[in-house]
Amino acid sequence: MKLRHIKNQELIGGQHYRHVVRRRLFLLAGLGTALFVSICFDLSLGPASIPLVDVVRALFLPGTVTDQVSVVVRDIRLPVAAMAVVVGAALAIAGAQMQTILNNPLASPFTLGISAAAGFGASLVLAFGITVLPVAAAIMVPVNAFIMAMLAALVIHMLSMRRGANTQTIVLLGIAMVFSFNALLALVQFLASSEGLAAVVFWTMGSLTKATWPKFFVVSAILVIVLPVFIRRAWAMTAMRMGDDKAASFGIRVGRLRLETMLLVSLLAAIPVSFVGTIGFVGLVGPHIARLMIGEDQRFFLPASALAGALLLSASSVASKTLISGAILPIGIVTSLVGIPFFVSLVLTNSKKLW
Amino acid sequence: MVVLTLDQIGARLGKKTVLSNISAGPFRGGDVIAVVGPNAAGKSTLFKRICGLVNGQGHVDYQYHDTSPGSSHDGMCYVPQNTMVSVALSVYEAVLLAKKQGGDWHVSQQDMETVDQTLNLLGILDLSNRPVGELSGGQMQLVSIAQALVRDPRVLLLDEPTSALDLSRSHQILALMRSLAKKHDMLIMMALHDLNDVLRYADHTLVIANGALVAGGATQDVITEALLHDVYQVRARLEPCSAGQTRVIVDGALNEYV
Repeated sequence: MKLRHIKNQELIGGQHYRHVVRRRLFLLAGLGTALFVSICFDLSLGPASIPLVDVVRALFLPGTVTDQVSVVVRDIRLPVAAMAVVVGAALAIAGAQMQTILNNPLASPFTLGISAAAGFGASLVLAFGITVLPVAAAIMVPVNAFIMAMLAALVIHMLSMRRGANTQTIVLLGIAMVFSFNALLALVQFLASSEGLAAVVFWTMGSLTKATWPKFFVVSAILVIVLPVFIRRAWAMTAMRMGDDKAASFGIRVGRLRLETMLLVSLLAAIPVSFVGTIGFVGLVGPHIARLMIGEDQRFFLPASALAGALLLSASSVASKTLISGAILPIGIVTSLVGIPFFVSLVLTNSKKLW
Repeated sequence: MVVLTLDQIGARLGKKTVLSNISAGPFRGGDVIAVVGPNAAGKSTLFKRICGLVNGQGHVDYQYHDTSPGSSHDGMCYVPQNTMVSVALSVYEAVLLAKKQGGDWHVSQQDMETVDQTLNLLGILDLSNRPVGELSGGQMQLVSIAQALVRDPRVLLLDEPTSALDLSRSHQILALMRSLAKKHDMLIMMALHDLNDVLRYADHTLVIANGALVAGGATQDVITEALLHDVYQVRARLEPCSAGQTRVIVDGALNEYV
């Protein structure tokens, strides 16, 4: 009898890579399915619980459920559930690209002070009605948040461009930014009227409950504008993780790519934050989940980060309704409480030495 | 055919002049050029200046008539000094991404074959599934060389390509570089520390010290006992070995600590 060793024969090179690609597409499909299931749960839970079957019917066959179910699912809960998805995706993509260009696994809008800056910008409007640009009242909060976030991003960018700055100094500067803007935010709260204070405090906790379709479309529009730029640069962005010298030797204009990415990232981070408040850890954890599952080839890493971020926030939205029955917790609190243990377990079980 | 001439080139980093007035060449495809010199002499900066990553005075005259279609770069590839990375990419992907720079999303059969061939050429095909973060310094060095070769360069600038390689790997790589240069009319310039390697593998040698060109020309003419004394500050002899090759034998540093 001939012994066969096919099982022991490891595939290498291109043959193996083909399997890798297939496995990744499978994982992406899995993430997408999990996200869909989470959205359905998100739509079924609330003051009035709706069976999952009716949720799916209300979504795809609106004629087959009662008007009441249809209104609750499509008009009341869907904007919130959809907002969780786009906000989660935007924050995770922002985090993924910050980690990529700064070559640092600790980078995210939250840890580098971009969220805190946006929060400070928003609080100026909420507490005193102070705006940086003279714009219509309806968009004052997002515009202010965005400008502050962009300023923070630019400061980090400029400092990171100085000679001698390394990834550690950038993270330390980011922490300095977090503390500065949090102190400024506390100052605003101290000086605000009780009415303004309530608005600021609620905003900083992060909440999806005020989601509306127009807000959803604005965040979606940002994704639609920014994503194609990142998609086109997938190979260059992946190369950035090989180090500046290596990326430059591939013909990539490192400084320019970093600046442009930083601007796009501040857009991705600031706009969602300006609508739903401070939601931490999605931007940090989402990319790490994607990296562990799928690696850092941006062609897969980018969609995986977006899906992981969307899934995290959608699942947090579900948790925010179920942790305390009868109350909807602010989602910013839930993402941190649920996200941190999950993140710590990911880091401690990371056997691939990815960071 | 590639022709590379350095015409009084210099470079500054901040306010400090790191390179000045270096003229050499013309070098042609098929030449293997060693760049030698003490630590911090400006060798890396010279490479960066040649491939345009650093600006400065003077002129790098680089003539290359591209006959191969689909080339996405100017034919010059620079391999920086060895750096370790911790990125979630396999060796295969690290080389593939070098191949695909400037290209589209789709990875074609041809792309994969090119990557396979390059890995095989460097003897690291068996590493292709390994995460680059797990590689040893020497393995990473081979991946870096693969990342340059996969782009089908006409001029290859290698900054200390053998610094982390063991004896046999380092000779394999140097011999491979020399044969690639001769076979494909590739111009290869590499920074090396071991002068015996230089004597064996390089046609021309440039000696850089304190940012200036101290000597340049055919390797046998450049590496002399006087140079070892003046530039490297060592007592050394150049003697023929039993195989008839000239070898550098170092007896000690001029200024010894003990």
